Amino acid sequence: MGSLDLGLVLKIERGSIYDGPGLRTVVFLKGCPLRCKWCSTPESQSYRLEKGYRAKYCILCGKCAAACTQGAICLAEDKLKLNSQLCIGSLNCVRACPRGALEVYGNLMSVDEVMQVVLKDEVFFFHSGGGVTISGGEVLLQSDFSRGILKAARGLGINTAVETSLYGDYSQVDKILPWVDFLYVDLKHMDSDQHLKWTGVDNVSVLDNVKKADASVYQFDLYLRIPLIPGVNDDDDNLAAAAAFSSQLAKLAAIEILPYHRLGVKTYQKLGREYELKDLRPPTHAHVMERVSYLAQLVPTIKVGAGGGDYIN
Amino acid sequence: MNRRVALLKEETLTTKPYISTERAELMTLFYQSGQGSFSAPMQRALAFKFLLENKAIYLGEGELIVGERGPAPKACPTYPELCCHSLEDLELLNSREKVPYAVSAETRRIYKEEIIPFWRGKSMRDRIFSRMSHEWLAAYEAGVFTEFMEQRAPGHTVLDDKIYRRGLLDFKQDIATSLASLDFLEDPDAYAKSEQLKAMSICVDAIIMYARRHAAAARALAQTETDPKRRAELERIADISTRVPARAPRDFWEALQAYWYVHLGVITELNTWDSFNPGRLDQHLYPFYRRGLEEGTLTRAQAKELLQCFWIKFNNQPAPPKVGVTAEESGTYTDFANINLGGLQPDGSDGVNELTYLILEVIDEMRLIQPSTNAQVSHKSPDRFLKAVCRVIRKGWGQPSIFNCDTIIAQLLRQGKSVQDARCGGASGCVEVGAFGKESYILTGYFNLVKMIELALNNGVDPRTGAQLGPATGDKFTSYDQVFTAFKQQLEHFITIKIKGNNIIERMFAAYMPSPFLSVIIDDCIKKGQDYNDGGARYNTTYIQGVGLGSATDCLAAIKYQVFDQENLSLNQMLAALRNNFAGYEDIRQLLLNKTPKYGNDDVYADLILTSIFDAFYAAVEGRQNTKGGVYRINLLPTTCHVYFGSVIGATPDGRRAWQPLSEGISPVQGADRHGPTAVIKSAAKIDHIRTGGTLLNQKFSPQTLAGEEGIERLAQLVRSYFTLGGHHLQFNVVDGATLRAAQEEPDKHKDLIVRVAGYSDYFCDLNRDLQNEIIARTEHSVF
Repeated sequence: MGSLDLGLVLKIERGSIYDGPGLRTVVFLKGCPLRCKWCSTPESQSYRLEKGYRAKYCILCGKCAAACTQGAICLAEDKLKLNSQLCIGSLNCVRACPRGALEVYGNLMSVDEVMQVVLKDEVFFFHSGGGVTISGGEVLLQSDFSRGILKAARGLGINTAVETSLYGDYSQVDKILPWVDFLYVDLKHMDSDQHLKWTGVDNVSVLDNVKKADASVYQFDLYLRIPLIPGVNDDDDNLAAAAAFSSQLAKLAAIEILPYHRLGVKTYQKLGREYELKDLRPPTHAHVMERVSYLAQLVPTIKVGAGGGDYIN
Repeated sequence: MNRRVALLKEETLTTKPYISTERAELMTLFYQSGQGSFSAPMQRALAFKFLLENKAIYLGEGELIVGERGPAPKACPTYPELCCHSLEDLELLNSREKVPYAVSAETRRIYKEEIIPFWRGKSMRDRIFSRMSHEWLAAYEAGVFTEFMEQRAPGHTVLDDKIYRRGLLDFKQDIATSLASLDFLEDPDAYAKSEQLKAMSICVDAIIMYARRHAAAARALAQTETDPKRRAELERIADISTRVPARAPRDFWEALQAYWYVHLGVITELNTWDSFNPGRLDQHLYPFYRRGLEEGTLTRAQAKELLQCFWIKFNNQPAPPKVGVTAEESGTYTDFANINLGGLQPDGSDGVNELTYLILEVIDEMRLIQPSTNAQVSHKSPDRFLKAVCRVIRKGWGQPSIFNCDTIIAQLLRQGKSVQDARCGGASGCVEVGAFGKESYILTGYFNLVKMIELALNNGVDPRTGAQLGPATGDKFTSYDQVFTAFKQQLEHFITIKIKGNNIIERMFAAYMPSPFLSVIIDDCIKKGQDYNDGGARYNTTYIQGVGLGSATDCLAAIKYQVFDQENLSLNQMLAALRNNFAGYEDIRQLLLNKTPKYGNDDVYADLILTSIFDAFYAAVEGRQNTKGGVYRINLLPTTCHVYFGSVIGATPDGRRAWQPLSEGISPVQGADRHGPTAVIKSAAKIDHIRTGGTLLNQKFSPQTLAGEEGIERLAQLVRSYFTLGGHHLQFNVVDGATLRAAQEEPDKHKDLIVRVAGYSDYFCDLNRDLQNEIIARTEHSVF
């Protein structure tokens, strides 16, 4: 397959317990068409290599500035100043940094290279029923690459999961579906205008793709996930609409409500970006459980849970 | 737990350890009385008898299992024939901040006037140090290795099921048979054997007499006891102590008490390392438990209460007071009695039974640092067992640890044990394997692997003192292989010094300090007419314990990667940075810390170096002859020695600052493992565990990670995975860093915080600051 086999990977995390059954290796891809305001991995959004700077770790040794051929880095009093206008994207500075205070987000990898990492945890998959999960960014943006990983994993008897927004053309969805055992789809908002407002794109193709995937001939378990963002999508109307939508789906295994959290805020700082939801507080546990109960009573035949934990119904 | 147990627990937790002169005084009296005409085993047997005839009998209020090593709970005897403490030692024991033992003015007076004048210069400790070579003493003082026998006797063994099937009078009969079959015509050792066997016989009588002294005391108490319930208990204790250990126990209570008398015998005879323990307790007691329930003479609640009373007994016996390097390498009150649960039965079937689960409840409720406990998990062990174990582990106080039963069996088989002996074996102390009831597996001292690298980089000179400590192995390195060769030469040089010393010490114990009582209960001492300390056991293994494998790996990986492969710095630059403890070289330190392959990340580059160090250590030690017909082997564990060994090493190529702790066991350097527990497990499993006698892997989890049933399942799966890959042992701390830091700030509010150290649990506030910091620095996994 040569260079066409390459994909842009953000990172590979081993031993995850939140992205499907068992202990899983999660391949995070880089590049996403959505811009969810609550996104906790902003470094996964751009389909380019990006540099991050952790001022806390910087020892101000100046090695990065010396390595930069463009004069894009200068030392300020207690941290570096990075001039993104002058930066041409060379990685000299990242390489020169002794402590990893400068890091690069994104890594071009082949399917084989990804599989080499995935296979390291085969014994844990065996004992836990785990496998590989491809997550985003957005999987559909790299559907050929994703298909390559999923197909290779399936061929080795490793189960597969995909976490996606399903935003995009169904032809991309169709490429991966034959090789997926567990499909996790985010329902960020049931109202298309609100979806557009909070994520930057409408939900027309999302809902359409869920229905088509559900009606497809392929065998997989479908999970819908609702990121519970207070004041955005936690109202009765949105949950009722999600319930109505879910009731039509044949492959649906469960609905999971994932409470909003702020773990990604620091990454915005590293990227030099602003986090828009400055004042939004995570929902209380009681509120989350109340919302889960509300949704559960609307869909009494469907499993509903919070954060991948214990299910109601 | 009921009121009785709660009161006994309160007593054992609140009573502070103190030095009792009882044993030292009796020992002195005995030796002063002119017993010089006897052979060594007879002398020791008569001394043992004299102790048990004259030591005070303690029967505590409400106790169901009776007998104390000292005159009361937490009263610690001393062993002047092994180590005669000086007045300065006593002052230090009394006043040191961590692990103190109270010393009264009267104790000091007795030591000054009676003990020290008699024993000074005569103790084993004095004899050993005066007999060691200059090179041995120089290496010892430089912190190259430690010496386990310099103030404690060889022990390192565990009991099997023999005392539950037969009484000690039956053993006495065996001894008589063995004596009768001695061939004074053909066997030049027949006389020595006869002395040994007679000594064993005296010890059997002595321990039976000691139990019956308890019977008499209990009967006397019963006569004045006004509470009819307690009176009945005391009468029962009297009956039991009349019966056992002379004859085989008939029920659950008798079985526990029989073991306890034997235990007291072992730890009174000598201060053996790694307190003796009953080993596979759930299997040994199960027949009594089942029969009691069937016959209606025992309830589950009664069995639990008896077990809890039994647990208290272990906690009442802190480790004998340690000073000097021994206190550094093993700075704890714990004496490493390590009870095994689960595993396999002798016929290879699953060993888990209903009593196993009951004992897990006892462990959970008692929450004592002694006895230590572990679960042997085989591929046949049910998930229910492993998950029940994980549920106790999740409580966060480090017990029980988990062993791979299948690997233990493979280790013992590789060493030449029979399959049945291997299945009846297990782990004791921290992680050491042995054939229970049949093996003397003596740990002789920790060995500082990282110091070998420091010496190799400095042409054999110890930078701390400037002395030429090791051989001059060169200082002009043009390849990594040359560095590694120098490391190997240093290693082989000092292992040889250590073994030469060991062989002398082994003979000294055989000649001067036999243990005829211990010999009664370890096969095949009676059959061979030979002492436990002289090769009488069926299997005789001598161990040297490597410390700092993770640190050593990261050091050599840094040299190979940064100096020779990537050429990011010259060796001279690196050495200059180390000499200056990285002052002015922070960029180099960061490079070494952050951009260098590290062990614990499932990284082939580092892990190949790991196995090369392992192979070098193995080759230097494995198979060399000891003086008891057995051979040397390795294991990898540190107790607290990684802190001591770090304190004698300057800055190292892995970015570690001078005098800081080394990595512990086979765990990665604290904080160097950055890819989660699955990567640690993959790296650690690359060691060939079967060629060791035990390895120790610590993992630390945040409590949230193990929440819910899901957390238990994942933990169990992680364990199964490590064991599928052949790993030997895993233990867990489930505690967050904030709690540990808060305990450092306000120890009074965290007095009951127990953590896993290395092969044992201890009160966090009893650990010295360096060790506390080391535990905080360990990577806390928040994912799997």
